[in-house]
Amino acid sequence: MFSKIRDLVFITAFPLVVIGSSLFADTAPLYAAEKLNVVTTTTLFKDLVKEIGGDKIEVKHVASPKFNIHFIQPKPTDVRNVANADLFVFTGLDLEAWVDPLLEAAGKPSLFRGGERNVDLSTGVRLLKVPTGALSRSMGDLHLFGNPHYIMSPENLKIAANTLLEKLKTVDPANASYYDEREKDFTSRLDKKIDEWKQLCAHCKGKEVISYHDDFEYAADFLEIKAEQFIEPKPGIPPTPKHLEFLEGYVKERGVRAIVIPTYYPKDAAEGLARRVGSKVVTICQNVGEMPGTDNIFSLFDYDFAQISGALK
Amino acid sequence: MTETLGGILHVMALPFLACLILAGIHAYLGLHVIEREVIFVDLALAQIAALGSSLALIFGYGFDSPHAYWLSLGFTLLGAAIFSFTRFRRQIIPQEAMIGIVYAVSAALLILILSRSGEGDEQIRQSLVGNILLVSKGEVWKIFGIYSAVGLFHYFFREKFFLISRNPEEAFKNGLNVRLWDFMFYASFGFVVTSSVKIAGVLLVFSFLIVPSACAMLFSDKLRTRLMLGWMIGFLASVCGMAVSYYLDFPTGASVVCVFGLILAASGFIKAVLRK
Repeated sequence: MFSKIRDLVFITAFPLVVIGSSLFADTAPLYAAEKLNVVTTTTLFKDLVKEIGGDKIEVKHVASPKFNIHFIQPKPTDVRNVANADLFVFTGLDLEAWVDPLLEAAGKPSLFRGGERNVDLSTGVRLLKVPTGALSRSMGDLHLFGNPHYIMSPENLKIAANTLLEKLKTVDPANASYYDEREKDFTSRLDKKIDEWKQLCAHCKGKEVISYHDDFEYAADFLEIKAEQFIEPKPGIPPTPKHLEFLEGYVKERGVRAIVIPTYYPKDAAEGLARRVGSKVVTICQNVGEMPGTDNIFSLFDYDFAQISGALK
Repeated sequence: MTETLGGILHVMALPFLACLILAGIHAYLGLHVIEREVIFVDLALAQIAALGSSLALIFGYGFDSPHAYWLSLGFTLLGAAIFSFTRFRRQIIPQEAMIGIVYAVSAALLILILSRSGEGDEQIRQSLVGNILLVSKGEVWKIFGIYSAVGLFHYFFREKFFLISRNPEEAFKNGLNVRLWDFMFYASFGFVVTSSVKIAGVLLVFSFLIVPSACAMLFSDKLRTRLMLGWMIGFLASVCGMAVSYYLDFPTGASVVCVFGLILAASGFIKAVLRK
């Protein structure tokens, strides 16, 4: 019995040594491609990269559009894609808490936060709810730098497009004018759409909604809607009985007509509240491809703003 | 494409090494856990450690702060104390019941605390789920150091540890301080398990702990043989799990757990064939 075991140990030890020694060898890029390889965290950014990068880039995303972006478990392909990437595009702040371990596992320092091939799209965005004064960790889950859901405002999308453009031009100066042109085109289409959306929701101005999580704040800011009360008493914390009781009174008193909830949160609390007070539950998307008919940035916001506009009519 | 070998090495090398280190210590500790019939003790200790780190949040320290670490360690020791002080020569409440209660109450307390601290929910959840795929080099070195130390400690006192696990009655008769050694066992065990859970998650750690010993029990009564078999099974599950995860692009920890399940089924089958 034991001699057999010894043999087995030898046989199995071999691959171990091979794998172990590879750990200490520096890892070169696995293969070089002619197109710029870009990895984004979300499908919305993937679409943005396609808009600006056109056929000069190859883009992949990490987070499935149907999952809560806060809680993603990257898979081996994701690590490999990032290891092969020339650029890594993400929301920044603390929205994607899994990003740093993922970048570290891929092991390319230039892609790390602050690295020259890391594209933090929050750069230059005016953040809402930035904690002021002494930083208190009891203010809310995940959001020490301010509310990270800024991409829900199309105005911030323009800033993000510009950040991305500058990075693409630095990394790939040969195609700078190509990127410039595409960005200009994208921004002008977006500007037209922004007018359209504002018009569609003109009647919503000054009205109020209740939001499940604090991910609607930027969209509300864009439409000049009030969204100051949340079903979550604090971001990331499920509602308590007292808080629901408070909301019920609040909604009745103010005549709030809509409760806005992202697709991937449990709907029972929102629906229960809506039933009791006679308001509507509105589901909104934050990712491209999250719902049928949201297959690019424009149709995504078309969908969301149509929902809001309809509910507040 | 060079990606087949280069790719798998680049992506899976660290998780694989981490799995081997986990297999090493947990196959051994699993022998004790099965002898003692305290199968879910690792879940209870991991949960109580998470409770400890959540307390740090209440006092305004970050989840990654040393305060959180020491508090979670302190709570692990508290758990160890609970389990050693509720073991009696003639047991009234079964140990499994105590383990379940400690698990449920600390999970519930955690919810209460998080509802007040208003943050850290995600980190705490992450600390129980883990993602072995994203383990860092530093973490691999850290568990290597900690587990070697615990392994040595257990090696030096192996007779005492195995006596109280296998035959507590005799230990009592010999005048051994069973409670003290029980505490030593649970404390060192908790120390290991809480570090493992952080990087690998409760599911994977549970499998590394229980499946190798359970399979080995089918084939041998001798501790030494069981340990050898356990290590081989842990190794095999790690290799196959990594391959499944990489080639089918499944989450890594869950792949290894399912491979463990298959290995146990196969062991049962082999055992049945051998009997005939």
